[in-house]
Amino acid sequence: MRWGIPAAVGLAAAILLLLPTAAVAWDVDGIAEGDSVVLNGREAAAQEREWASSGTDPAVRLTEFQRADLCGVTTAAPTTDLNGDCATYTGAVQIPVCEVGPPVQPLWRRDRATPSSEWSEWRYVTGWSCPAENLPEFTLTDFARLPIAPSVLTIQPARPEVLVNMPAIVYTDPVTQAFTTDLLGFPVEVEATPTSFTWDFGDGTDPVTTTSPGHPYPDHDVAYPYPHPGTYTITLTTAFTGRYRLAGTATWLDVVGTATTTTTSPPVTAIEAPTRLVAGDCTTHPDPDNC
Amino acid sequence: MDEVSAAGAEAVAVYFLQLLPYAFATGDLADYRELSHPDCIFCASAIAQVDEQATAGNHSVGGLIEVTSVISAEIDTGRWWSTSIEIIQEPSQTLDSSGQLVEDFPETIPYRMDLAVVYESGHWSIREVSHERTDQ
Repeated sequence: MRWGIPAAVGLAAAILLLLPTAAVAWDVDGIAEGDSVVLNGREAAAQEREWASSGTDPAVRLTEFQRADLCGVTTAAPTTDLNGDCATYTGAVQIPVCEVGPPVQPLWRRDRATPSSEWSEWRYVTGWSCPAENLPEFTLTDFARLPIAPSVLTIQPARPEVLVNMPAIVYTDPVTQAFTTDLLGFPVEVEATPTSFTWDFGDGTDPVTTTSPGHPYPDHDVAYPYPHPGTYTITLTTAFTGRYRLAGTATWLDVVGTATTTTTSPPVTAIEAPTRLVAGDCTTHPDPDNC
Repeated sequence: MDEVSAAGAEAVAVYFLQLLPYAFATGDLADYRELSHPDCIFCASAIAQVDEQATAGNHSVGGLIEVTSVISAEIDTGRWWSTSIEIIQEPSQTLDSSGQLVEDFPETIPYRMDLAVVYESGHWSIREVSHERTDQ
């Protein structure tokens, strides 16, 4: 039978389709992961900075942080020469090679119940890390403080008057702006990218928010036909998302939240264009004056 | 786990890891979700895999996690701990609803699991998990 072989192939394909498709026996390696070591390190560095800037009198403070080498790693809890002699610990300590800057020593902490109590031993907080992993968070306050240039608002047609009921086209150029700045002693690169645009056409109608920056005629996708004559100003509020990284490193971190800029247009006058009968066309008979 | 201390954080972290084979075996994610921080990438990935497996009508057997050592450090007093947990994962198999073998993971694999454990608003959660095979 000439059709026998294709039919058998089709049957096999049908059987394969009936088999369960989500064959996911699970193993730990198959589960995606975040970087908890970096999260822990950044949190620890933040605690250390907060402690260092609190300026509590050393005589009365109940917590101290210090950076110091890690003794050889054994199965025992990690310890440091601050607690005594590292010589009794023999394991190897892995020290990272960093993209930028020298590696940062492990962080240790000790506590006491009262200013007259004995200090505890130095306890391990985090291990060796790289400067990028100790970068403070670039907060929304930091981000909003950057001199982000407001979007340039362009209106078409490019004259102060538009016709009632004809679309006034608006658009902006969504350029990403780059900055370099200092974050608590760390040189950082920051980028601000416009991601949301809110257009207020100034005639009392609700503002419109778009993810499109708008486009010039004839590809325009943000436009507003003024229904009534009048003089209006158009206000564009641009929301920027941000990301930052230690200067010279590859990994960007997101700024939580958005910063906004506001752009206001020159006055736009919407005028009516009444129709009237004239003799001939306006090119050859420019009469009356408003032909 | 009721204790807000390093011991409490360690207990939470170990319990969280041991919930994994349970969730893959039963599809029950109630406790696992309860302990998963909304920003935890590992947690979301595991939840998606359990849901996907359950939707396909499959479940897993085995894959139990044996904890061999736990080290923790308090990073922010009473709020944030790091824990480093050495585990051995036993072999696991995925079976369909009739008990037929769908996929087999015959290996016994040791991992080091690094967790960020937080206690916020009276509630423990796992902020993030990283894992690394320790036999390679």
